[in-house]
Amino acid sequence: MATREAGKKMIMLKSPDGMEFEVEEAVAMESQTIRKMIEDDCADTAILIPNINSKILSRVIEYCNKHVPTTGATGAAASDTVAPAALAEDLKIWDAEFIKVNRATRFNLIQAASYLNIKGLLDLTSQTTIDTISDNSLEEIRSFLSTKNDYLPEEEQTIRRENQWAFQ
Amino acid sequence: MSLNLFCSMEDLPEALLTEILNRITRTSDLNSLALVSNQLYKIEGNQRGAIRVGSGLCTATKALTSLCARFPNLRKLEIDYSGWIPGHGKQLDNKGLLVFSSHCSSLIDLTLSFCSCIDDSGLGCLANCKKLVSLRLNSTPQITSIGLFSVAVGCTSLSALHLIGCEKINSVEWLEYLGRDGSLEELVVENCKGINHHDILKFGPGWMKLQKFEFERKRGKYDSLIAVGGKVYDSSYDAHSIDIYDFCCESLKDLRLAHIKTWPDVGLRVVLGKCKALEKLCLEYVHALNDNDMIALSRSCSNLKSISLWLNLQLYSSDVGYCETRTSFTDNSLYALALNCRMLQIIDLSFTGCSRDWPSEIGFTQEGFLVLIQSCPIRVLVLNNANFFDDEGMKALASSPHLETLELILCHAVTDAGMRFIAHSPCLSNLALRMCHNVTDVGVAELGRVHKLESLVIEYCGEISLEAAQGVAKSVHYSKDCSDALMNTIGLGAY
Repeated sequence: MATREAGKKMIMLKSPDGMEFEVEEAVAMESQTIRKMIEDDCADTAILIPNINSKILSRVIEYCNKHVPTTGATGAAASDTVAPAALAEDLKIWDAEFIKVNRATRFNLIQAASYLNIKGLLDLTSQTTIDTISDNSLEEIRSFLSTKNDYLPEEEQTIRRENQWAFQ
Repeated sequence: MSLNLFCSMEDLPEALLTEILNRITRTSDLNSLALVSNQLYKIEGNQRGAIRVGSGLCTATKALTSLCARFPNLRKLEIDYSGWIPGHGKQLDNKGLLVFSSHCSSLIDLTLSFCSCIDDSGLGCLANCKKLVSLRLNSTPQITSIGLFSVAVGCTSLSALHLIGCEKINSVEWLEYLGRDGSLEELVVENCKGINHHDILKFGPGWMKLQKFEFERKRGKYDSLIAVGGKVYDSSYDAHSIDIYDFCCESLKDLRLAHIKTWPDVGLRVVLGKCKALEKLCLEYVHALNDNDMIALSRSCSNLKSISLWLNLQLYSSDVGYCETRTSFTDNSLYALALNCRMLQIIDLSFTGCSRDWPSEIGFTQEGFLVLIQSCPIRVLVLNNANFFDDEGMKALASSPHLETLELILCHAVTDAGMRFIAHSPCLSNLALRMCHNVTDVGVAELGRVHKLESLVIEYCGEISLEAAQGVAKSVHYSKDCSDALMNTIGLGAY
């Protein structure tokens, strides 16, 4: 945090497919995993983010950019005039737009949020996934989770029956 | 470094999948999930920690065994047959409970509600559940003291026991055993007609470890709220002057006593003088208490944070030939609390059956009440039928720096002027007015003008219109009529 006076310290993030992203340190530190690397001084040149391709990584950075606290060293202007409640409401609307992605992207975002330890993003992606379970038919759930039905008809029937009698 | 493109939920690592599924709370959602695929069935089954079964449960041993196998890590089980009719089929019996107790090795929390086919021998098999920490028996008519004794001996980890409406329990050897050898931290006994409050004193050394204790006496059909049954209580009797019971409630933080008669048998009344660490106290219509009880309690419980006193009319006399009808405590109790309990944040006072025409029926005065309010950091205040409390009281209350929540029920002496005062209270965010017929639209408008309340509840206040209430707070709940809950609160409900 020594460079705060000098402006914004930048961090280089590298995806395994060779793309490089220069982001503000505060934005990168939305990820607890990266925060730990920076604090442990493991982030001199560039940080390689394994398992997360450039497409997903750019979305993750987009998320962190939006969610980095505006009261910190960066982007203070926004919070001067806008009330916290309105800001939270704005973020919620932004999140809802952000998560309108296809299934594969969403599952990759879950994985990325988990690896990078970004709680807000993991909450958002997981909640979106489980929200679809309520109020959808079994076939819709299967399609939404991209899961194949591997039950024999009689197996499925047994579980269906058990679900019926076993719970209040 | 390989690129992983996840295309399906099942491609996610199992630990992450588990974490996502952990967020699902609705049973029906979990059940749907189990139907999706074998893998999700297994993961979901492995992590399901709690189920609730009852009417409709297939009680065949084979079916129950398969259910237990589906959820190998079950920690919490609730068997609830409330609303059961013979048409629902057979209830779970001892044999069924044995299946659960022998298969669910991780069970820590068990509730049996309205299980009429489970008796002492069923309860005996809970000794299999070595990890059982919490047991609730609610209206289990067959269970007797013998079954409880086997639980006391067998379930060595038991730390919370709730007995509600268990008719056949009529002795307390199990309690003596738990007191000597158990590690009970929470004990709740409600509406068990065979257990007298003085029986509970046999818990002996067990009181040392107890953190939460509730006792509610089962009332008879004609056990009216007004206790003028001819019994006259001595207002100067001190139940704490001689210590006849050799125990101490060092850890007790949460105490609730309801409807017990502490005369001529003092019984649980002595506990009031033995607490050292009490944080929350509820006394609901306890007979024969007087200022000496509150003074003794306040002296040793400087950490008291919450107090509920639900009081009704009783007959008191300090000398022969003269007796008065009033609530148990007087201003002397309030002064003792004000002096000794400087952490009080939550105060709930209810004066059931006291008439506006006879102010002396309430042992407290506004003066005494304000001394208490002004000496502690009050955050939540509920006043029910507090005839002494008027607009002057509201004025004083308005300067309480920490007051966040105020609920006034049947407070006739509070008018629009009182609303004008309280609107300026620095922290007030939740206000409820129930049956306050002397507050009008004008008073509510005062609230809207000055304050941005978070929530406003108006229930059965004849002079306040919905139009006036709307927009006064972020959330407004308005009801023109009197709910059953409110009838109960003022002591006119069906008991």
